[in-house]
Amino acid sequence: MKKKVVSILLSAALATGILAGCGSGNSETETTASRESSVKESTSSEETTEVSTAESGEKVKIRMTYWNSEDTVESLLNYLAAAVPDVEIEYQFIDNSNYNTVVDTQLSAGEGPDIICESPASSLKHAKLGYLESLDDLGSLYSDAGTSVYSYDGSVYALPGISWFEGIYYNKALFEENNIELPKTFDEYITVCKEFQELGIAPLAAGLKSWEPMLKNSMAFVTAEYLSTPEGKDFGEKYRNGETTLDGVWNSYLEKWSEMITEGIYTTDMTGIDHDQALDEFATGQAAMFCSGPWDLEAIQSKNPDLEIDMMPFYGTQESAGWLIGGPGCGFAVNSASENKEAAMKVLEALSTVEGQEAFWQDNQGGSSYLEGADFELPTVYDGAASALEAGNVYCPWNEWGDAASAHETYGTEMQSYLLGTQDLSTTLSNVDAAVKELLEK
Amino acid sequence: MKKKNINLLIIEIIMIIVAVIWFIPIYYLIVTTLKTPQEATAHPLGLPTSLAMENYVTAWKDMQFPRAFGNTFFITAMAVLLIVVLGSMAGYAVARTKSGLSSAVFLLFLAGLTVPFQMNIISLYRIVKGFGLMNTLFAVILVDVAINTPQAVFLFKEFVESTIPRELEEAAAIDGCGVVRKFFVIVLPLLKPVVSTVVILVTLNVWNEFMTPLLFLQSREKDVILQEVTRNIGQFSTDWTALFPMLMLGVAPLMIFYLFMQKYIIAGVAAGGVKG
Amino acid sequence: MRSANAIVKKQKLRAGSLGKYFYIFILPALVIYLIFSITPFLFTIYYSFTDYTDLNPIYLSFVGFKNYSKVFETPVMLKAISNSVIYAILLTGFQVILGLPIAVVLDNKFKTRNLLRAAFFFPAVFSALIVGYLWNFILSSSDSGLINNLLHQLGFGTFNFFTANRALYSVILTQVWQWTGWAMVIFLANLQGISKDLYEAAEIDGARAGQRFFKITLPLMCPSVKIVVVTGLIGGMKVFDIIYSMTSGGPGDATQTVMTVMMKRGISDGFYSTGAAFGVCFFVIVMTISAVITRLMGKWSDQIQ
Repeated sequence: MKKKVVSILLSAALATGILAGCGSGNSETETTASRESSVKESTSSEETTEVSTAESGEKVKIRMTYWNSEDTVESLLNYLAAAVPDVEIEYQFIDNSNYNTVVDTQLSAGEGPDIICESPASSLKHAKLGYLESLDDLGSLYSDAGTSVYSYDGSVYALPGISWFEGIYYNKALFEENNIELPKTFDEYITVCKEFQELGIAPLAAGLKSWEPMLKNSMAFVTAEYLSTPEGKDFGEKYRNGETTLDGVWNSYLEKWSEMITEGIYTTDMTGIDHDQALDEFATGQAAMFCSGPWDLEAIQSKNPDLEIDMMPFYGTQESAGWLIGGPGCGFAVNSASENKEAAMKVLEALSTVEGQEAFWQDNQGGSSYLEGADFELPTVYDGAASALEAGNVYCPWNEWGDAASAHETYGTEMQSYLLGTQDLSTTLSNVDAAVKELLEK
Repeated sequence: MKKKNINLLIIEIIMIIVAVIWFIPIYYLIVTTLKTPQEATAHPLGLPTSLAMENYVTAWKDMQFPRAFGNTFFITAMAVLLIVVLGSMAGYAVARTKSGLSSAVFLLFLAGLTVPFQMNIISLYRIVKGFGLMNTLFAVILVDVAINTPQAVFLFKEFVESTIPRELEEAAAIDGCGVVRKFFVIVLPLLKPVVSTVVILVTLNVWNEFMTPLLFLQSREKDVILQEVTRNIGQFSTDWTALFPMLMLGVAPLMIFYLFMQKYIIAGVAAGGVKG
Repeated sequence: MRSANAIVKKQKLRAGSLGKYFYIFILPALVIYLIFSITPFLFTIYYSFTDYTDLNPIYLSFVGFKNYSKVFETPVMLKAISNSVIYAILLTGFQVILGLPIAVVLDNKFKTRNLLRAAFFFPAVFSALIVGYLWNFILSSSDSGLINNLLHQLGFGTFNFFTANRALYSVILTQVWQWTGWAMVIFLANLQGISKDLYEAAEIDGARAGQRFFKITLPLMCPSVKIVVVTGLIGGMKVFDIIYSMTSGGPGDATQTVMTVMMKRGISDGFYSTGAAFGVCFFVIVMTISAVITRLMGKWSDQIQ
């Protein structure tokens, strides 16, 4: 029996060894074949564009991917269908958790959608690899604040969408009924939470099964305390150049922020709750506050149309207008391997008009447009955050991390371990530093 | 003897209780599909007060169920067909040929039983693209065939070796029956038990395979049921009444398949297990 | 393909009773298998020795074992391996510990026996992905979670199934629920092959039920236990779908498994070559485990005989 197994394993190993020889032969033919086919493809794509211009009137079909559901761009898609009638957009929703995987594998194989919605991190990567068309002409219509995160080597590679921001939604009725004043500083915020706890009301609903809530909440505090100050202003730049680390710099701020945990506002039980279940708790009045942004407003309101809500910003220890986590929304980029580049460009041109921005804004109300000349009114539901928005206090720390921006997810998961008590703060931060270093060195 | 019967009865009752507990998650899935969120929170295990089928109608539409079902069905049927035909041919050839090459080929197939295909997805992706199969159902079919062939070849080989008498084939050969005809006319019908085992196992595997469609099918009109489920959960997970019917629709086809083919499925898994 | 042809020619004379038809029979399956299983596997090995990343996809250079040493220096990869091993061992262990007694009991001539078998096997036809979404709701800490909802209604506090220490076991729990019936069916098939005469003889000797199980049944169950253990361990090491839908590897890194890290590091983060090296390590571990298990099981069956 024994012998048989060993011999099977051995011969399996041998068999694979033999094939390794033939495999490398294969690989050559493989790569040449694929090169040939890509050459063929590019010629054939020229042909198809000729054909498509010749037979005008026929619709060009292009594919667009995004990690938000179709209803967040519904008005935009309707607008585009009317504004660019000869192009049909096939909208493809890909869930956030595997968006990068799917899009990256497609792009690396020379395939992929014609219009790609990019995050600042992914656009940088894809621009470096030459997967994206530069969009300098259209980009110049937007403000620098929007295009800077989508630029690489002096060119714009994605058009900034309506901005996103995250603050703290609060249940107005619960604050008023219990005579609780809105906080103006972090310490007051902690006091407010404690008052709710004493009343037997959960202060903050949080779906900590996801790594996002603590990432944003803690970074908002660090932004208010440090990153927005003269000393902290160029932290992001230094960090992406490998000149500084989180561990040793952020510790004292995060220790203060940890009152969120020691005061029982974030509890370990919350790692068993999804984002959506937390939203449900807030919408049904079981919790007084919920950190999120415009993308969840409709879900909250449809769950409980009677709920009166407003949004407050995050605060530091000093009194201020408050801060929101946020930045340019998804960037619209054009795949350089697309066979329908012209059509994709037409779509982006239509998007880069006030009407286009307005249509996009319809389903993302509250965010602002980076297109010069496109200003929209802030819905009343964000009144409490208006001062922070007006002051321009909207910031997304990891957007500054360059090639290491995707490490914000590591930051989030490491914070989960910190919350659960499996590691101390210094280890948490140095783990993020290690991940960042690895990404920067790639 | 009587005491033994009573003991057996007690054991049977205990087993029924255990089985009922075992069934709770499925029961929970079924009843929740028909409840409002408030009802589900207040009485999670109670029976629904009304049979609100609108939830199913919405889920059916949102998932584009008939189309997704069609794709899943086509992929599964083609994969099963290819694996049965090609796998039985290969298993038969390996079983009836005693040569170094024959055992080398067989060992090569065996090695496939331990290699998780997920470790190779980047290179796999490039190969699929090289053949121009990207975003076609055939990409999924061929990769699924490759994933499931080793086990099928193994099962067919074992079965041929242990149960198909050589004399029968020799007699056929004397009658002037060619090898190919001999296989399809005489041998294949005798393989019926193992064919049903392979069909069952492959159907379960391919129908429930999530990674290959996720990688190779990009446009919505090509996607399968599981992709529709994840897609819609991403979009509507805040809404229970939409979520549970979708989960239900996601498992319903195999559930129905199981209810009707129970005997064969259990027998197939048993045979596949004991041999494989 | 050229070198494969060479092998083919050399062996031609020794092909058995099928003669040249051997190749016709074997080739279709073999070609698909070579293209879509073996070739990608070889490419993975090749990539594991290069500096292939998403930022360096074309001009690859050879870097020796650098990727392999990186695997052993990356905590999350080691954690993933240990999680996968724990997952595989526990899931397989419970499948045997629960599946075997259930099978033995359901081998009795109960009236409800077929119904009971069908009930235990039922979850196995579900997709693991959907099982994950379903159990998410059952185990959630919030009031929408079935178990915590019941606990709250009975006046107990919240039991969080997704802490750093519990999350992996919660996932295993769902898979024990899903796959015990599968093991049971295989055990039953084995049991039905055991002659009832043996039991009758033992009964005359006055053996009690417990003794009967350990002295007669268990030794004869060796073949099916072996199958369940080997396939369970190998399958368990590959776990992905259930983690994907239940925890995505979290909280923290508590439920990262080989496949989730492979997807994250190897694919999403673009460390292709490190991912490939990780995959090769994983493959070696799987091979080792199957070799060890087969050996141990071999010893067991030797002892019995």
